[in-house]
Amino acid sequence: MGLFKDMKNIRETTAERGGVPSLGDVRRDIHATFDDRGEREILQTGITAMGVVRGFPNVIPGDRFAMTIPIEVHPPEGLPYTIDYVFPTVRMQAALSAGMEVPIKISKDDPQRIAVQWDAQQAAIAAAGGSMAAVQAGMAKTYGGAANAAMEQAMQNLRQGTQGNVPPMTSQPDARSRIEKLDQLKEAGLIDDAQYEAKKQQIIDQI
Amino acid sequence: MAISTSFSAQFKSADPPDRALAQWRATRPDWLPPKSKEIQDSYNSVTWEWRHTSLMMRLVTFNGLLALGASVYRVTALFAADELGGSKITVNGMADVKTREAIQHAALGFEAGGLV
Repeated sequence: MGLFKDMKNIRETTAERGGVPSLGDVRRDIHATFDDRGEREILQTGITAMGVVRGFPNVIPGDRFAMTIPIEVHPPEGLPYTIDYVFPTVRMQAALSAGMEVPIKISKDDPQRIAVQWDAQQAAIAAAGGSMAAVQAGMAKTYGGAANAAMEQAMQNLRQGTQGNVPPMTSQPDARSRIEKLDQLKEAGLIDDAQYEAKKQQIIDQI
Repeated sequence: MAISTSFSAQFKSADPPDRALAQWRATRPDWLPPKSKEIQDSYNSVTWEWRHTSLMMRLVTFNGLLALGASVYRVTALFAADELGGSKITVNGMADVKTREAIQHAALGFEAGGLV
């Protein structure tokens, strides 16, 4: 029956996670889950700014209730700087991925502390055409066409039942840009003909 | 809160994003409920919030005295530059049926407008 099956599933799933915790552990977990770590205050009193995501969310060893992600902070005044943004996982309401521009607020007391404006981030993702489109746009900004090319090659390999030969994902520009740069170096006399040809062939081989 | 209350709609403005944002903040859109409040602004967006307690929940929670049963709705308007020097405005969030219908009505006539 449905009810008994549900209870069996609950019991087995709970057992997989170490059984039922003590009341004290439950209270501590609830406290940790809903601890905003000062984010609400930063959102209310902080300085409006833009951030650029420079990586991907990662778990924090020893902290089950937060995640970390590198964000390049662009304050209204002064030079950009990068921090490891630690945020309560329960507050995450939208995707964060490399290359995305995210609305943030910076603490007035400590510029190293920021809070992502999740409602605005959700709207930015909707404007981009959804999470997948926003992630792909961010990846394209960060890795050029290499990320999409690698993904398409991998999907093609899967469809054909083959593996390997996936082009390495690098942040290098595309082949045309690299050859144009090479042309400039040759015209400037910084490389000779042999070096030019060798490098050009290397780029062509990577296509 | 329910998934069915989520929506996204598109508007356009002839003004650049910063000016359009300032205008929307100064003169709130007609479709916002009177009880809504601006709770957040970013470099390219503004967010409003309002609460609604249904009649049934008011009865159950002694007219809200138990501070339970209220639905919290939030709508964010995000402003991005379009190719004509104006703005594309994406309105996204969760809203009650009446507000969603008002937004849909207001968005009609805009390119790619309406609820998604």
